[in-house]
Amino acid sequence: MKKKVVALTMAATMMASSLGLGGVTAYAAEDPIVIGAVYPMTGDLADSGKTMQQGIDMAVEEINEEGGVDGQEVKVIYGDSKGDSATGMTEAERLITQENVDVLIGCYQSGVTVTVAQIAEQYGVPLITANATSDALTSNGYKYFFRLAPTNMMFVRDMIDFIKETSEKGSNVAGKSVAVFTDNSEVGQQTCEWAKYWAEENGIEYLGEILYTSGAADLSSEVLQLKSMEADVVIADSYVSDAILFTKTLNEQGYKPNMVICKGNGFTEAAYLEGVGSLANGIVVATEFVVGSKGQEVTDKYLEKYGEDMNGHSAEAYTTAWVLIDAFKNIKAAGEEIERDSVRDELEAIKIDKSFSNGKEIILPYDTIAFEEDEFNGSPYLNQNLSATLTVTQIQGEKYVPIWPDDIAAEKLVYPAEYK
Amino acid sequence: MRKKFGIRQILLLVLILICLIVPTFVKTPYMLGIFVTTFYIGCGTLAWSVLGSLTGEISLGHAGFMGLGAYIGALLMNNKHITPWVGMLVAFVVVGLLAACLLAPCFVLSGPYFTLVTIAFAEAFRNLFTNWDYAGKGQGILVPLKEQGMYSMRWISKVPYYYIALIMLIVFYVILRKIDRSKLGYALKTIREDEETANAVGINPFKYKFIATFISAGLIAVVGVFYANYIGYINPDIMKQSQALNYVMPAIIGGIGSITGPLLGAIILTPLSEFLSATLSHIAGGLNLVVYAVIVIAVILFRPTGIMGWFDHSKFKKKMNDRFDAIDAKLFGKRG
Repeated sequence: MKKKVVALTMAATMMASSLGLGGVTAYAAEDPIVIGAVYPMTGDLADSGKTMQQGIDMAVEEINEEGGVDGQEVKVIYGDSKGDSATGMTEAERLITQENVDVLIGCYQSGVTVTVAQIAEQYGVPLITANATSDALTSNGYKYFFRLAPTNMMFVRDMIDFIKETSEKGSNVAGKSVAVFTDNSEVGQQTCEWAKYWAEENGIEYLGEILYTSGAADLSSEVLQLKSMEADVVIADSYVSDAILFTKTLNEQGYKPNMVICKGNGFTEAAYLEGVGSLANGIVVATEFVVGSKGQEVTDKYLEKYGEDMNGHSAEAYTTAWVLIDAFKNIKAAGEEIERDSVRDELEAIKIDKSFSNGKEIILPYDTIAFEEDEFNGSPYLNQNLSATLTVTQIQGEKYVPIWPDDIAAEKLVYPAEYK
Repeated sequence: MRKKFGIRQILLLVLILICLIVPTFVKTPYMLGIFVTTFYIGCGTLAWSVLGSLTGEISLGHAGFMGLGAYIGALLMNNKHITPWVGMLVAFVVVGLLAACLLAPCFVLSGPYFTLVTIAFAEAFRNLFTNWDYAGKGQGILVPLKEQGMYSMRWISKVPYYYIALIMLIVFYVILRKIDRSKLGYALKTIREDEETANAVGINPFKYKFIATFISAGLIAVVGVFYANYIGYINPDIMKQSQALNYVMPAIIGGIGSITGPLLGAIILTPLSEFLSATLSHIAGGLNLVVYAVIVIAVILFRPTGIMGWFDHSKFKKKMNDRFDAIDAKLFGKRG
């Protein structure tokens, strides 16, 4: 009996303390500015989640070492979406109502971002995504949703531009037809749509797409189907575990496409090269960022801190955090309080040109960050960073080497790809 | 013996009353959200247990049936402007019939073979919906918040969802209790224990399994309609087999043999997992899942019959029964 009483008391105290912890409301002036971040911390996308977390953490550490925003510390609280829409929604709600965050960063997968954006809009909390690429996200007319990342449309646009330019320049490079290999998720389907659109715009034949289910245990038949399409260039878009399996299956089936061009995504995660090694040599990857193009100081620091190279995701997360920090600084400079609405208004107005307030240049391949409104091919874009562009890299000697655009190219394209 | 009104019924009423006034005390949407999640997971578990507990056919395809319901509700509302309340009815009948007809040829399979078939069906539905233009393909469907109110079953506030989910849970539980004690229930349990014997005493296993599948899949489709409106966004991922475990786990932990067990499991597991993820996940990523897994493994190892399985045979239950009877005797006098 006594044991039971003790156990019950303990349980009650635990419940009470958890409720109590959540119920903080009143903020003194020296309380930190709180950023909430929703990412997959567990599950099969945990690798990617961790990468983005590291990018944000590094930026926040930097500002706090400088003494914070006008003396006010910046703090990040993470929520684990587990890669699931409903969980992402609950976590966003927890961050908004329990942890009282001023702004949200978040969500890797577009499917989770959709629900979190809805919640953020309801509560009037600005949400800025560093990575979600689904075009539909910025076309809902949400006033509190901002996106730094290039959308799928922009990704595929730059990839096709690259194919066209290199095949016109190099006489041996064939770029007359493309086929798409991707999973049948939202993002994958959009990649297909835009690939078709941009290929036709540029006079390249679109042969079709091979779709698989993400997390598949075997891709042999899909790869064989792809082989039979005999495309000049294969466009691929996969999460990291599928990307590894795809590359290994290409090798097993003895299919060596002259050029595979991939959308950053899983092909730029640290786990990818570890998983496939030299089999990836020659694969072309369009990404938001690559080490060696810009911002050497930042990437060196990142490598030293986390023992892995900065990739597109961490660079974007890092930059997003700095955009927020600059927004906070601007609000303070204008003599206003940092609140959800003032942050939203500031994000709408902010324009970052070449470098941030601490003098460091934007490490992503473009020089301007601003959240603008436009319409493109019938679909509207609101609060989208429209100046975002991509870098095209090739895996050479198990490293990502920038090869396009020409002004940041470190090496030439190796063609045909060797896969060894 | 006919049961009369006693202390047990009073306690139950008090519990329901407490549940009814919870939203006046719990103001934060996050906490209310946990209640709502608990309730709808509870409903899903109850629906699952018509097949899983009563009939003893373990299905891992219920996420597929739930997803079908969710799509029916959302598509009717978005494209035909038919209220989700009607959507619930349509989903119940359509998904129930569809599941029963699809699974009917598989009733001869038993144990793991039946389970595999259910996984395959759910997977087939998921692939269908990922490639179906009308249902938004892989991008899924957004159920917009444009018009709020009873007709569209869409509110910004969580309170209406709280009551809908609570009422749904009570209704589901009552239905299950009725089934449990009806001819249907006894027939299903006989089939569960020994199909040959059931056949011998004149219970047609095929007929009863058909009915059980119809009810089970139909009910979880109703949960699906609720889910679509509550979350506001659905995509084919909700049909994944891993989602089905949301409804199977509580039943295993709570005790598969009864009706109360699965419900109890849901009431314990959902808040537990939320509590762990809110308190532990920022200490170290995944720590909450480790603790959660340890608890689940411990229960399965030490109480393989689940919490109710243990409770039904424990001294604790006997003591409680004795005490309740004593109170009854004091309050209402001796009964004949």
